[in-house]
Amino acid sequence: MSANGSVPRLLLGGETLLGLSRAGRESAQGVARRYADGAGLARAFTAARGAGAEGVLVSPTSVVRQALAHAPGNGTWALLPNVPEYVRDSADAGLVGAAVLRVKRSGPVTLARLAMTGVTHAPSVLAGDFAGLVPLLLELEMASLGARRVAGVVLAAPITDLALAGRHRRFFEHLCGFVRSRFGGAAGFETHNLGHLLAALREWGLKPDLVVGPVNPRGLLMKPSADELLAELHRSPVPVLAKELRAGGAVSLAEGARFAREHGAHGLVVDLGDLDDVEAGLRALQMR
Amino acid sequence: MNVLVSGPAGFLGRALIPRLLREGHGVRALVRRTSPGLEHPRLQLVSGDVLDAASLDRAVPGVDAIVHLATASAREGSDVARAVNVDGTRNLVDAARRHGVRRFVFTSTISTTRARMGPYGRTKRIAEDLVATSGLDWVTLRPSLVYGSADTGLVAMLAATLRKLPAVPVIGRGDVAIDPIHLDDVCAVICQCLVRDDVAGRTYDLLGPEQMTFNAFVDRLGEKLGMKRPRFHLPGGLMLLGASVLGRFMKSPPISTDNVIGMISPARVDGAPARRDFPMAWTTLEQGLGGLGAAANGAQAVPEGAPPSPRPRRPVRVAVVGLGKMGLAHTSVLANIPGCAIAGLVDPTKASGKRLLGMGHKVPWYASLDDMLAACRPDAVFVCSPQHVHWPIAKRAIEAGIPVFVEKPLAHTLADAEALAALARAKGVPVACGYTLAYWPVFVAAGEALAAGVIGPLRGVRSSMYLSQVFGPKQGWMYDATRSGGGVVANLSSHLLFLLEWYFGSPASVVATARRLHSSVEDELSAVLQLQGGAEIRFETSWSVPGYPLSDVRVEAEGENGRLTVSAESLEMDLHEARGGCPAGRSVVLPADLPHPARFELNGEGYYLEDAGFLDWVTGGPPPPTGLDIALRVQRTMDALYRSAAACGARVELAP
Repeated sequence: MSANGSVPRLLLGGETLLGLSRAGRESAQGVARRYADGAGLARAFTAARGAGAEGVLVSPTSVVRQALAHAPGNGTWALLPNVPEYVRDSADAGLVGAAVLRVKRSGPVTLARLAMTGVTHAPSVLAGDFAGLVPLLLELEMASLGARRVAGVVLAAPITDLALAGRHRRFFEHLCGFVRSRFGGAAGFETHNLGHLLAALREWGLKPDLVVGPVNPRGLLMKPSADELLAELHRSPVPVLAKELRAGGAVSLAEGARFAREHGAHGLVVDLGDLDDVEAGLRALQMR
Repeated sequence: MNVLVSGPAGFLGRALIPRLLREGHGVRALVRRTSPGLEHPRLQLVSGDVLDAASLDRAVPGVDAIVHLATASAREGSDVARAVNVDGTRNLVDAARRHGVRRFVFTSTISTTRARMGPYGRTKRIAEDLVATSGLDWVTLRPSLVYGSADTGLVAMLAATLRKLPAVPVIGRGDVAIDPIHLDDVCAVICQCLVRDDVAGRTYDLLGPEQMTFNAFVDRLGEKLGMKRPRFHLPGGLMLLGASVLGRFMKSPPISTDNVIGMISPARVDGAPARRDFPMAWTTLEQGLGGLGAAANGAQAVPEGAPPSPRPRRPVRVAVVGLGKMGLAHTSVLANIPGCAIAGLVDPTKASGKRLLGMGHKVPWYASLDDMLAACRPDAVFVCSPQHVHWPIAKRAIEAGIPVFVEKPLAHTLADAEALAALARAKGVPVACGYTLAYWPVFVAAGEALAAGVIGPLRGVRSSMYLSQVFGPKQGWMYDATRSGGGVVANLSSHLLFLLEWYFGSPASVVATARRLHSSVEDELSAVLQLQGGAEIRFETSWSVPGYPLSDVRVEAEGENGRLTVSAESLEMDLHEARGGCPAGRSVVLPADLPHPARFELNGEGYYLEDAGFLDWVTGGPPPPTGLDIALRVQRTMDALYRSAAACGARVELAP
């Protein structure tokens, strides 16, 4: 899946469900309260699809699992791993311990898949290569998401950015291949260093199916700088879905969406936290 | 002038083309497979090959001169070397004649001057004769060992060897004289050859201004890269035999007979004609290798016109000690600061080193700082290990005179922190501490507003720091006071103590109570800090409250002119009257309203800005707000809080 035609133009994002919101803690808590049960979140997913969103971009949490069970749909995009949860676990057990904790919680089917992936990645796992370790983590997280099938898997920004910091070309190349073959969907990367990532992908000649990153009129989180990022965005052959459209609440969603589209973003990821009314909010974006 | 360049994607070509463009020439690059990776209105890429005469008939017409760089070494096989170096040169010379191009600059090699030649030297010698009898206005250049600060070529190859191997293999005794010449000098000469008639019809040996042995060159390079390595010598005769055998059986042998001959057989060269005919400031090895440490170790460059961002004022190499979560964060950020290269990663656990290397960082791992210092001397050390080893590690670096960045808090005990500070002061070594909130733009803006007196004389402060992290028994060094120095305060809210110290100064006394909920260290602490002027700061912290997936810092200061509230989300002010440039009434500043100068993001801008700010300081910039004095004062307040809590809330006075 590399043709731009199959990459969504609009996804509903669920980052705020993890407690992460540039708009602040109160906003994140409001979203968490509003979608505290899976049925309510499933209704939001259905409403988003009704308003033109081609899917949802979500990480594995208990409420997301419930929602996907209620409204499986076809447009589930997995944002893996659930980094805040992993970080919390690693504060106690360390980075490796947090992974072991997940293995212990896994069912037999997941363990079997994990074993297969482990065997096929054995040399790189033994060598401590990130390109071999992350697929194991994705197996665990995918099982935790509970989706029967996904349209694609997007690697969460903190992991992407660690590999980007080390300029680990083979990591990106391998993850694309692994996700496509193992999960049968598109392979994408979320990043908070969009300009750097697009430049690196261009230099390396790699084309993941999509990249998700911040684009907004205020330049918030636009690295290495807003101008450099926009220049990369214009010349990128990889479709980019823009997020952080509202720059932490500094601009309206419509303004952020218009800016991203004008500067060459292929599509948008609009977070639940940016939508008081999911259906109306997304419909308004479609009409513009 | 329009110039056709063959071999544009090679080491020389990549450097020459930008220079030609800068000098105003139009460039047509003969591209076989790899483009030079450049875009420019005056750069035209033409698909072709020196072995394909028809393609040259498309590439040559319309140019005024040809620079023939395309070459094949003997490692690509004798047949390929002959085809490219002889037939390719003949094809290009013929094409020049056919299309009326007079000026032809040919780069050959000093290998053609040796008494003994391999396939490369022999074929280039034949090519020299072809050029010399072409009837064109030709110039042949024979550069010696060409080096540069690019990420390819000889230096990159030697740097990779120095990084990967504990010792440097040298063919033969390494005592053959060489005259390394900088890439820029070769390009400068080529550019002159294009426009000067007086040099036509001549062959020049291009030698650098210093002659030395290969051994000395490797040692100088290792010194510049901060990687001292012993050399070991491989018998020249045996290597020549081996290269010859490999050349017969391998399509692309790792070493060619020409490589070996170059190491054991002196070239018969004369640099005087080139120095006479091209009067210029030839680059000395010291100049040529200057700044190499960062570049060859993979430091990033900043494009022209990029917005200002803190960075070291000269290239630096740093070490990161302790490769847990903080070590990982600092390594990732440091690797993306322009002008900064990571010289080594240090951790006693090999698995930790392996994990970082597995993330793509191509730097040496050492089990201890001593091991690293024996191999190379970094310009700065970042101590990211558990708190109880901050002092011994920092001590080693300070004793060696190396600036130290210590993750917060300064140490796990006040005694260690004071010892560290005393040594750093005695030695005059810069030390800063990782109180990263000092670099978050919104907290900086709040500090500036308070310093401008916007809220007037202080009445009181409420402050808190919360995180949802500890909800059951925990293990690991963070939950062991003998290693971390305490619980939530030592590990988390020393950040808040720093902010309070930075904004309001040191307390005169503290009263604190703490609770252990899940482990042997405090999970919550409440305190009142009384300032010298009498105002009180209420301080609340816990890592055992729900609803805070991210740490949440909040400071609310009330003064006679109003209130200021700051958190990661916003800076809010409600002022009775305008003061310090802030308007009367309620105003809100969001992070998006402030500059965000970091060039790489990892958990916010703070890590990048504090690391880059520290490196700016140690290379001559202004001191950071997180220096030794304030870090020590925070440690004293933390110690006082713990003593008060241990004494069930007894008031503890702090020395002024």
